[in-house]
Amino acid sequence: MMRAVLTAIALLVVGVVGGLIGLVLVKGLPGVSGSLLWSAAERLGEAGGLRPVLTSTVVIVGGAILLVVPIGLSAATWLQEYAPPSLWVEQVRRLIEALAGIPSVLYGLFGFSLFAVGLGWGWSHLTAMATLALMLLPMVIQTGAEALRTVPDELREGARALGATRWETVRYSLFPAAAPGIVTGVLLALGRALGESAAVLLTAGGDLRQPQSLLDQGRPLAAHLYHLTILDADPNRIWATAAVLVGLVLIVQLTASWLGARLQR
Amino acid sequence: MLRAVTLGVAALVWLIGLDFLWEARPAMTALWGWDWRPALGRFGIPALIGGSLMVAGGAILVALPIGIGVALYLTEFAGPRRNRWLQRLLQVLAGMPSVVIGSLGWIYLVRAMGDRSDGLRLVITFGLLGLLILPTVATLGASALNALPPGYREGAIALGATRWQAVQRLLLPAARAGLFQATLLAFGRAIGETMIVLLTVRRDYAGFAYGMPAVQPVTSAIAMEIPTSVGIHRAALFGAGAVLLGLSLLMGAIARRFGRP
Repeated sequence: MMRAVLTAIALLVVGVVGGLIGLVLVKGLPGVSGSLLWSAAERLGEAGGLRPVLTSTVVIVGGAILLVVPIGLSAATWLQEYAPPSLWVEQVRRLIEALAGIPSVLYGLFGFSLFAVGLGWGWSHLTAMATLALMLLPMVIQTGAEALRTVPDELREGARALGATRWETVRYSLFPAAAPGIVTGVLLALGRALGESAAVLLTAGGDLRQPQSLLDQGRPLAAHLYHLTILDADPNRIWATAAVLVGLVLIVQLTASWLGARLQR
Repeated sequence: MLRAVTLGVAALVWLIGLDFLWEARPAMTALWGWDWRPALGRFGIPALIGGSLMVAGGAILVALPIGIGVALYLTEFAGPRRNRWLQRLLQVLAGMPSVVIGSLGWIYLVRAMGDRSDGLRLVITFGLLGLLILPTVATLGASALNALPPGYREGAIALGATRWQAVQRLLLPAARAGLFQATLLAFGRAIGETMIVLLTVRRDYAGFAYGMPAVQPVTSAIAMEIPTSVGIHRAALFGAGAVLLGLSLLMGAIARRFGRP
């Protein structure tokens, strides 16, 4: 009896999730074509293609990743390899954990206040990029530190025994060993950035012209999907846009979990 | 150098909080009513917080029974193969951009069912938000149940308990700290989620200035109103952001305390 009920619940969840993804791909993929991906947008995105949207996506998401990786890995390395075991370091760890729990819309609000208004960057690619980088920091730090934690101590001791400095040990011994774990974490961050809309809506503006500079407004894919929905645009167009977004996120996710699985072997 | 970077990142929590309070300062005294209707110049932050708690509470009511059901299926009945596939599916759901769920929900549920009833919109919001936090409840719940010593199960069955009795009398109570932690984290995600409520909750509520104020959570109010807000309205939005920040941090802190037995 209990088994039947729980199986039914599990099947229901499988059905809903499978249905959701299947629906998006089945209804959306037929509408995805070269001209949709490469031509300019017309009439607020209700006609024409996704070129400005995809350009903004690549610039904002790519820029955020380029910003977050060096900062995040520095912090992860310090926490895992350099930090002394003490109470205040524990507090620092806790603060970074707390960052991970802050809702993305509040990162957007902070980015709006600091970058757009405070620094005068306005709604722009630059503002959105910096905001997303802040949002992704805790994720990159935590996965990076975890990847370094799983490197066996023999590697550390071996490198030090050969006379390597602490930094040389990190650079030539630990980073290569931890690389797959670090890359998996960065891919997860990439997937999160691709799907993020709340923080972007508050920082990137909404223009659909082909962006010319980092200080132009822009509208990445997830935000575009929101705008199309509230415009009540042609459903086929919404499906196609959703399919491009879901497709990209799935590719990134599957690559990450494939890497993660290889890692465990 | 590395240390400076790390400390800088950690200081971000304080920086964000102080920035919100600073921006909210012009409105500090005027914000305590239970009424949020910008068109009338009423900026009661408690109304938004109430909206957030209500929406997140509804989502928990949906996600908790289903999520714990899935967790029990995973730990008690699914073989290793099904377990792996179901976990993978939950992972995919967890990574699904919330705007996609909100967008489809809007097209198929909200718009399809007509625009009349705010109550219906609210129920739809509960359901979609519940779907979004389902992976959190299910995976954390499953790991809480998995962490129990196998002797619990075996002992109960050996004493003649049925599967259901073992689950109900022994396993669920024994794992309650972990299940409570899962619920808190899911609740924290639900009050912070923006896109679903932005798409399903009434967007044109400012025009309803003279009727009943519609349910509006903090997140969608911020996302919708910041671009056009000025003066005390903007300050009030930052104030609401500060309260939401405090709530999320509190929720996370309590959850972490339960995580360490």
